[in-house]
This record gives sequence, structure tokens and C-alpha cells, in this order.
Amino acid sequence: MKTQAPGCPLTGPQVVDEYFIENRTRLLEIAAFLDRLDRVDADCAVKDFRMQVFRDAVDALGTPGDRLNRIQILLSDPTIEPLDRLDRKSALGAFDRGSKEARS
Amino acid sequence: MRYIDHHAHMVSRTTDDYQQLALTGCVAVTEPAFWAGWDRSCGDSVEDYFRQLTEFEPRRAAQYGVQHYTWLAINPKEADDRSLSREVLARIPKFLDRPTVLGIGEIGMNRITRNEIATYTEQVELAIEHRQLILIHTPHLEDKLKGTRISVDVLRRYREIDPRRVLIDHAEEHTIELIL
Repeated sequence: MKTQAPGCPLTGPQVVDEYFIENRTRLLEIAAFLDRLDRVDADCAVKDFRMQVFRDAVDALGTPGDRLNRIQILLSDPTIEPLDRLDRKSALGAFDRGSKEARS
Repeated sequence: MRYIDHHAHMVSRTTDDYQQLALTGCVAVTEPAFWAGWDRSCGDSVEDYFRQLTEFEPRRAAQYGVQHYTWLAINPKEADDRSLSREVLARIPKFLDRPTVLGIGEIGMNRITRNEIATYTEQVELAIEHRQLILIHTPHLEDKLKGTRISVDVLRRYREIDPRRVLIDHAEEHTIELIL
């Protein structure tokens, strides 16, 4: 008999029953987003630093274990040097690994 | 179920929201000092905001049976402005003995500039000097990891700080271990 994982009140089939449909929707939304970008500007899909990380994150989904943490790290600024001056108020969602801060 | 919403920016919410909170069992909110969505021009402007947080908002909440408590600080979104930050920090102590003030917060970083770190450090020292609880905001999205690391590093410099009197907020999967 299948048992629940520690800390999870649901069995595997129960997790799939409960969450498959909403994640199927999310998967299709990602596919539609990538298709839309390909149609409008395939070059941007390749060159934009956010999309480069996005592709890495999609690839990371294929390897079992700790996916969420690995993707959070992929999206994060790994540096520890403060900015000399404020560049903007808002975060962009992914760190630009080709930026001056990343290279310094 | 009765509950406390420990992080609610009620000054930007309508009275209908208080009603909804009360209907769902909320008995108290704690409101960290926030950014107004645009940068304020002087300390007097922020002082009016502190009066709103400590005088007006508790009365508004009480109309719906909700207790309102607050944290005072210059928010990380404005903390890069050193001149404004100094003006605000000079005004905070006179509010600290008001009955609904919980401590200093939310402090921290936004884009993690040298100025933001200097202001954050001064606010930590203000909390130590006045024996206040500390509420720390950690930055959004790609800046969260770096901002959390530096926030914790600064706290470690001060042996006087009791970790049980510090709340580091907005933890995510990749920062929770660092915080705990």
C-alpha cells in the first residue's frame, strides 16, 4: 500500500487528483507564452536574459528533487556586492548574469 | 477561527476591507511602515504618516472590532535617500511610547545599494538603543537572496540583538534556512 510522504497528508494519487488540472493549465500557459514570444520576436526569446534563465528553469523541471529551490537560485542574484547607486525601484524577476554587477 | 494578520498595509485599504477582515475572524492587524508608492519629499511628510499609523488607523480599525498595531521605520523603498532617512530616523523616537507601536519595521533593503545598507544599519541601531522589536522586509524576486544574506550579516554584528525579538519576513524556499 502506498503511504504518504513525511509532512504530506495526501497520498500520491490524491496529490495528482487534487492538483493535476491546475498544473496542466499552468503548463499550457507557459507553452502559449513561449509560442507567442516565438511568433512576435524569436530573437528576443533567445537573447533576453530573463528568457535565458526561464529556459534553464524549464530544463530544471526535468530533474527530480528540490526543483523549487534550484529554480529560485537560478533566478536569484548570486553576488554579494552592493550597488553603488540605485538603478531602479523594482526587481525584474531574474538576475542578468551578463550585467556589470555580475561580471565585477 | 480567530486570527491576527501580522502584515497588513491598512492605510491603503478601504473600510470595506476592515469589515471583511472582521467577518473572517481577524481580531488584530499589525501594520509595518510602508512606501506610499511614490517618494516623499521630507521628514514632515513621513511624520504625518506616523500620526496616521498611530492615531487615525487604530480608531478606524476599532470601528470594526479590529485592534490595530503598527511598526515605524523608513521603508526599504525609500531607504536609499540618506537625507530623508536621517530626517525620519530623528522623528521615530518620539512615537515609540505610543501604546500601539510594536517596534522598528519594516526595515531592510530593496535593490541592495550601499545607501540602503547604511540606512538599514542605522535602523537596527535605533532599535537596539530603544530596546525595540525589529521587523525586517526582505527584497523581491531576484534580489531576495542577496538582500536576506546581507540583512542577516548586519544583524550578526550586534551581539546585543536577541534573535527572538527579530522577525525576518517574506521568506521563500531558498532563504528560509538562512533566516532560521
